[in-house]
Amino acid sequence: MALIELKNVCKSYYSGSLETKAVCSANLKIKSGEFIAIMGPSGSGKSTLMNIMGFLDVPTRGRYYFENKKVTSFDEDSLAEIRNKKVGFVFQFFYLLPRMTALDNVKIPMIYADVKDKEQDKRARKALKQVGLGHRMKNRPNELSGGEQQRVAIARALTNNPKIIFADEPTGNLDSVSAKEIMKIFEKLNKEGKTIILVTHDSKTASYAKRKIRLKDGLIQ
Amino acid sequence: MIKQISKMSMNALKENPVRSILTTLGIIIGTAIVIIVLSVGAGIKTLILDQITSLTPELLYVEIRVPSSGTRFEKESHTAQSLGAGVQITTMKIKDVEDVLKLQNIESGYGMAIGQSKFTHGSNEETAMIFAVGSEYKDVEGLKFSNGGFFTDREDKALEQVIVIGSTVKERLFGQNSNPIGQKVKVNKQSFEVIGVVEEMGTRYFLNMDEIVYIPIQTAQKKVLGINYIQAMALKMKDKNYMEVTVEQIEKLLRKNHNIKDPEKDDFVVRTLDDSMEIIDTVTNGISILLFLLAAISLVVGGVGIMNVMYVSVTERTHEIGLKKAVGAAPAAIKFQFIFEAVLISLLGGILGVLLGAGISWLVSFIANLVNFEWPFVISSFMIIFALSISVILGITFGYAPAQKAASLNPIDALKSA
Repeated sequence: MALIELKNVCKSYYSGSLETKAVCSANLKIKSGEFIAIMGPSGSGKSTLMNIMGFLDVPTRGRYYFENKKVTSFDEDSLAEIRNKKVGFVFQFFYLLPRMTALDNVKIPMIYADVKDKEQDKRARKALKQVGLGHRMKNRPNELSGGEQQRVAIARALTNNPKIIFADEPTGNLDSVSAKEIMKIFEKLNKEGKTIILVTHDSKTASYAKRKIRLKDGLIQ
Repeated sequence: MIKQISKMSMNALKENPVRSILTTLGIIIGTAIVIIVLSVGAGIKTLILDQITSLTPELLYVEIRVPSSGTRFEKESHTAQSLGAGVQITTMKIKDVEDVLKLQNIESGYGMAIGQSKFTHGSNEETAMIFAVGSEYKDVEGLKFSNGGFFTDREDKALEQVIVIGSTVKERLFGQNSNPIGQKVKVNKQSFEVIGVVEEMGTRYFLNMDEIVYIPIQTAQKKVLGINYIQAMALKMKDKNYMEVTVEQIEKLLRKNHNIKDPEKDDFVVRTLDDSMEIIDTVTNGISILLFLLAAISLVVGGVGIMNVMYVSVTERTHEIGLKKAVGAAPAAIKFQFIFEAVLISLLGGILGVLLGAGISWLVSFIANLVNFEWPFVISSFMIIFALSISVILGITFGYAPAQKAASLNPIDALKSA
């Protein structure tokens, strides 16, 4: 059974009557537990494809099935719930809230899942330890290195125990040593059963994935 | 969840304390005015009630007025203007009082003229207001005396040179611990004997009653004021249930005495307690409406200020909103955070406004008491809850649109805005 199934998915942007296809006729099946790298040059539509699969964006055409349910007909609230409980995101620029400690940043998704305070604390600490930041919990993002910030972001993605982790150029802003550490974490998470969907243009980063999907001009090659 | 989102709203305010306070300014002023209107309004009511406690419903007042046409209130303002311009109505006489007193439902009454003169005793001098009144004044108004008593009807008719003085007048002319009964006071080059001192009364009808000198009306007319008319009469009815009939009888009688055929040309007006209350109500309601209007304008301006700042806040934090939506915040959760923030701002303004308003109301009553008015400082939990409810409602109303904008942001666009 496929975890994710895309059927003829298209995403177009319009400026006036001019149509720009970011993704076109995407057909894709992803099984639970896979580690996939979506590759392609910049502007190839790989981020758009990830955003659609991660419920951050809606396709203009085609159908998207998640756990055999048709997501394309979901409303805002249901999409928010899926984003909250089924998936976790890791972005190129970390997107941590600057005035919160690492621990509080990790708690944010749990606030919206209505997890009890004590449980939030327990899970956030556990997640931070899991990514090797047990000693940096009370630090704010500007007191952390890029690699450490990205690890906080990974911990944040893990706290609601999602099925899938989406990572959009997670090493794009890191030096090679930090990048390697981050990719090791993803590799470990995949071994523990998480489905990882990685977007990258870097073949070294993509080499950690078990399956590669190439995109060019919005088309899956 | 609600607790933690509320905390986020609070933290957002703490990050911009100066902006938060400035934003609340309109709300502070508006809420302060609401509190002042309610508190001072309650104080004024107590004050007015206290000032007219001696006004019993059995009393009727007949006053002179300048004949004219138009509505009742226009007539009155016309009278005030004419009197100010030096027009004097001289048609009401002591005989009118005597005639009215013969009416069936009239128990007692007195005629009255008001003047002012310099009184001397030895080297002491005092300019005081003169109440030239009939002997019935004492009973109708319920005067009490610390020394002596009031003049009688016989003394009035005999034009005896006697006076009754207020407590302040006594102090200034004779000193504090003295008994002036039987002593002479000079007014208008004539000698008057003090026969009574009125107990300290404070203000009534917004006049300081302790600075008044009472002289028998007929004596005063001939020997002090040099007039042959009166300005008003006060009448006490036997049965107030026949008030309307009695008023009609008085009007008929005075028209006959004054040769008036057209009621439009009346040179007098009969006032009842209801009329007085009506005037007081009209004035105080008018002031209240004006102030509430001012408060409403200020509150709306304050509300728009909050809306403005909330829009700025949403724009500033678009990135944060995008992140929260990406990790699963439902639109309602985002909306709640921003509405709560707006409510916090307006509630803060409301609390500061209540404090400011209460402070000003207290100051007003403090100053009024300094000048001898019985003006209590009134503040109730109802007033506070009312004012704070207004500010909360404002926060929700004016925070809604910005919060709605935040909630409807697209997560991807919002994230990329960083």
